[in-house]
Amino acid sequence: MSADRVDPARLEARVSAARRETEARGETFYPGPSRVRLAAFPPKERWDDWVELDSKAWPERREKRYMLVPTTCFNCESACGLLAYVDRDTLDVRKFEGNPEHPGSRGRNCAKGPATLNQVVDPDRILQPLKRVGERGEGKWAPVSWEEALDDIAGRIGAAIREGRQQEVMYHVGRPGEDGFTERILAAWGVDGHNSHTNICSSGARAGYQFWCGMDRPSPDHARADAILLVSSHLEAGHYFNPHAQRILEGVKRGAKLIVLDTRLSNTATHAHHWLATQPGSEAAVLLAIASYLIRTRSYDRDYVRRWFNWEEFLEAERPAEPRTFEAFEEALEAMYAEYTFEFAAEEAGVDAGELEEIAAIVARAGSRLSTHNWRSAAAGNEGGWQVSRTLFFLNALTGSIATPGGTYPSAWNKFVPRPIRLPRHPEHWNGMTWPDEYPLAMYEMSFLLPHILKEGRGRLEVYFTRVYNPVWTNPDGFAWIEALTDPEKVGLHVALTPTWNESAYFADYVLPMGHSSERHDIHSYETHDGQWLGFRQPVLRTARERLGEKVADTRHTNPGEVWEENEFWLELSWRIDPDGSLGIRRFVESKERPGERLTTDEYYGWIFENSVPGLPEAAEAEGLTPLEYMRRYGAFEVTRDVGPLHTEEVPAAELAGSVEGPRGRVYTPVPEPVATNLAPTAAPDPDAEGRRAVGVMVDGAILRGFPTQSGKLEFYSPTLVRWGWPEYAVPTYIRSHVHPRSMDDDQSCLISTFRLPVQIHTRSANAKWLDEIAHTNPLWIHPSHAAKVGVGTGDLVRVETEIGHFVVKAWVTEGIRPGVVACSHHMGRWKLGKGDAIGASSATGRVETTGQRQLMATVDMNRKGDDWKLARRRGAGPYQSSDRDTSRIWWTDVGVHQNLTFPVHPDPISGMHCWHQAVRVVRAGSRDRYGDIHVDAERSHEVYRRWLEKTRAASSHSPDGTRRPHWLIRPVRPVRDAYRLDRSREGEA
Amino acid sequence: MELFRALGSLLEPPCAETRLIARVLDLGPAPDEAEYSELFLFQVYPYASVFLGENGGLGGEARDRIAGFWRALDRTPPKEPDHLATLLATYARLVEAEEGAASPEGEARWRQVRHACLWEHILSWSLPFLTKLREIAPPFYQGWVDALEAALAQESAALGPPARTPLALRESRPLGDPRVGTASDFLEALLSPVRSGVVLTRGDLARAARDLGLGLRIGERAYILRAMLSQGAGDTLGWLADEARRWERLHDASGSIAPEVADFWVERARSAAGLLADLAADPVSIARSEPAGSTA
Repeated sequence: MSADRVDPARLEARVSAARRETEARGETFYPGPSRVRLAAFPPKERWDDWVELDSKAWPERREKRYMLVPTTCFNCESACGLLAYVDRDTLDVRKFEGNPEHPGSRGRNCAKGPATLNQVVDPDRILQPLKRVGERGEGKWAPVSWEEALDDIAGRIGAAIREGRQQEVMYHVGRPGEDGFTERILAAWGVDGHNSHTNICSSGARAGYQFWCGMDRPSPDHARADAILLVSSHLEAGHYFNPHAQRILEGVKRGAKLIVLDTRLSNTATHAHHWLATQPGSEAAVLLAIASYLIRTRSYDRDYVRRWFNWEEFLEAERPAEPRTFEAFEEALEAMYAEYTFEFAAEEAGVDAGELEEIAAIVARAGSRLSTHNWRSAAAGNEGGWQVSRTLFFLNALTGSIATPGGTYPSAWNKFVPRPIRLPRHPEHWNGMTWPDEYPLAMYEMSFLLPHILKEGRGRLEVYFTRVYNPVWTNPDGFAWIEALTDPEKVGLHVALTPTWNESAYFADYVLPMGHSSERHDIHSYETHDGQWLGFRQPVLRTARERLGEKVADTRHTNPGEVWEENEFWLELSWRIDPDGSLGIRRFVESKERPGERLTTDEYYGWIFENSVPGLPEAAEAEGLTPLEYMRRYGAFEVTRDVGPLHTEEVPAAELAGSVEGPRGRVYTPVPEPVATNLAPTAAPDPDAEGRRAVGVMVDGAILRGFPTQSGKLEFYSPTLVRWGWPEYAVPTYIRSHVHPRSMDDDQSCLISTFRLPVQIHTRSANAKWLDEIAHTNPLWIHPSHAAKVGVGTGDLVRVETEIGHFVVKAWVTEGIRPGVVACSHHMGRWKLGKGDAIGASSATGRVETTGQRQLMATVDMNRKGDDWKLARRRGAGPYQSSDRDTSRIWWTDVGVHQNLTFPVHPDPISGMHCWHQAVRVVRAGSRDRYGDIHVDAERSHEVYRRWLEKTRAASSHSPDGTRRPHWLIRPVRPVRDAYRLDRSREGEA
Repeated sequence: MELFRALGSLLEPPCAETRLIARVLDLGPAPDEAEYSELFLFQVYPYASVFLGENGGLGGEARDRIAGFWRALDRTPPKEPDHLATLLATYARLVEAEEGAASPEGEARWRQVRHACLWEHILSWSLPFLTKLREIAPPFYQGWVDALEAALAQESAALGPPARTPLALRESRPLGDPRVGTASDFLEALLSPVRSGVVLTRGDLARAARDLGLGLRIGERAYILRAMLSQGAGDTLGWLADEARRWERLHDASGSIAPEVADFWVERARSAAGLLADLAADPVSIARSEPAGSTA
């Protein structure tokens, strides 16, 4: 063939015909790597029998055959898609790669996804249920059957429920599993016992968003933005970092400007066009200076502000003498924020005023294409940190960049939580240990105060579950947790549901092994972009066997050892709590297909996928699959994309029959709410006095859906905060942090303790050898000028003194941190008690002695004398023989220092968020100080708790309506409305 | 425009899908991975930046220019926007966008974009690439070259010539005289087709070393070339001059598809041949100015 003999038209026709024919068979015509697509992925029609060359056989070309089964990562919360490569010969998982069918992660993963393999084959993982046989914390365990454990636990819970002690049952969750699953289990039990980690994580940020729009997370559309403003380290370790990071990079490649506020030179900051190394706690001042610029230069979206701010309510309440005109509001707005000049912000933040002005101009130019994000970071570090997200979202509100292409969406609009097969009742009591009187506006449970609340005698726990959660290590004031967990008067039974050993599990009565991401069911949906998707986590070996024709009814049959999955566990436990159905629990976990039998996971998910996910049955049918088969095959489904601004949708006439317009245009209707398939959590605005539900809001003569706030508008002015005793925070403002320089002594520094390392995730990833080799220690970041004052260099020991004790750590002298601020990373400082080194059953006694995970845990001695607690490192990590030859090659000994033990609790009086930043003194370590030393005075820690309690404004003294909490705010396992009443009998409240 | 996409996919490593496409296009037995690697990873690189860049390397301004084309369309540039497979797939998408335009104005706009893509980013460099490929590739890829040349000829005829020579060519510097400039710039320019008019592969340099009786030092092309110049500058420069004259003829022969571009390439090779002949007659010690161990 030569060029002049080629007929392009004929070739074109042949290629087109071949492509149509191939795709009609459901097969892939073009290979994955078209270079305008992502990368090479095995075509999905070959997932049942995928052939690769065995790299270990090189140079011999030996083929290996795999079955590719999708699942969802269980390390961080992003829920990225994974593809498990199941060896067809041995039915073992050989590796994990990205799932190209997943709309959130799009086939890409961070290091933690593939490292799931390490967790699956970890020689130190827990493979059988264990029961304590010595004292709590003594480290002596005996194997126990699932039957025995279930019966014991179910018996105790059943007794508590029958005796009206529901508040004594508590479930404390770390890594979330399926959206709403365990909340519904607890509701089925009638127990207000949900306790999450959220108040040490994201409550601060959630408060800022929720007071604005009734939804508590941001969903930035980074890929289409013109300016991306991050108060976080999103390109390396922030929330949803993999799905967001890839879209941030897309946005930057498109030409977006990246602005990062971070005290540290994070990996994200290194990529920024503008990096502001702000003084910790000053972030809201910086953001308000930008807002002030937008206001005074009239470069905000006036029409958007006029239509969507609750400015009339503001004028009515705060400026009653002013005319009720938008112009009057604009004048008030300008006056209110005039004090936030660039110079003021520069002074507070220690940054350059000129650069702030440049950034403000970028924000103004971006207009409706401004994507922003804050989740933990400053919102989690500072007292008043919730104003960081509130002032950040203020910029979106001013620029009209809410739910616009390139803007920032409210979370619930980009999330899909399908209606389950059964929805249980609301609990009838209020749990005062998790929702105490002092914190009526807390976004989530006051989980980290639990030891102090127990110490004060506000209640006790009969059964306490820690579920993939490690409060002793993760929470501040860990010794208070040990004190509580070792006291049977406070905690009757501690059940640790965990795949791996952790510092809290040592103090459990039962340790029940739960599966990793390839060993369990969950469905997930997160706000990664302007779309809604559903990801399916599944036990891949069970699915692989089912593809080969086996029938598997119980995930334990295909998981390693006796590892179970939680959903089957909770269904079975619920079944046993109510053996005869008299408690009314059994009906919520009963099969619809086979009345009288327990619900199975196949029926549970089959029903959801068949009935609650729009478009999924049709997509499945097109491939000749049932919806459940479709999800088992592909692991994810895109429900919709380009959701757009739902607040501007007109309310259908059918919902408006008999409706009335209330004050300031809020529209209420007697028409019941249509049954929704998407149960993504939002606030629930109160009905009117006649009980009609809030359905929309009148805007320029049209009834629009609006936001799920009391007003239906964006609540620039928060009547909730005013009515509940905080009028000074009625509008977005700047609260000086507890670590503001004015609040610290001259010799004190702010310690940043929350930042993550890109390859680790809390304590979840400690048994992933690849990750541990990369990151295994946490030196103290200290600026050269600061280090010179202290008299230390890199590697020297420093003593970091907190309010309640101190820890000893190595210094890392770096210009990547502001002078006068120090930082020590999260994840590190894991420990196990020195109880010997054996893991496994002793043939003589049948007992199991354990020292836990060995790759990233130091062996320590813990000593207590009264209120004086000490932890001293006996030895670090080291090589050991195991089923994995790599453990004999461990070359690192240093695993960091457990700093959180030395932090007292700092609950923000409004959001309830633990304010992580610490005012510390950094001094050169003394001659008797040893690396890893920890010392804490427990009495002082309780004093600090009491001192912060004094900052609160309790419901009992400030509630405007005799309730414990504004009913409209989001609350997990929301009890019946009557339980909100303060005057209701304190029965049920601890 | 399925054909462009299909031909682009054949620039990827061979796999089951590409074997099917090859069969549909009647290209004969598909190459194996080793043949593919030898051709596209070691000899002739299917990237615009290699042909249009200042130093014959990947990336740089030449790649950025194509990335900018994506940004101008409000699209996120892919990782390798200048790979020919990407460009052919991009072109196919533009044709589809034009065909799917809702209005005559939209259609005209997409046609303009398509015209820019074809001339500025594909035809500006791909003909020398295809010429070289035809010279050294196994039969499968020779058939592929024929098909792509025919498709490009059809498109250039359909869209008409550009108003000006493509920007990347207009703005490129010619081969500089090392007696005036630096030796390292001269070496880099020799390996940059847009500056020298010559496409030099590792195989070409091996052939030259063999023909001239010089030792072949294995390494990057710049390293090999520098080593040859240090052993025999006059002979090497003479060989390069001959090679430039050969490329002058090759460019001229491919002129029918895109004469506006071919003229540029002919002139570049002719000018390089003249300079190299001068230098060969009076060899300067360009190799002595920098140690042979460094690479360009």
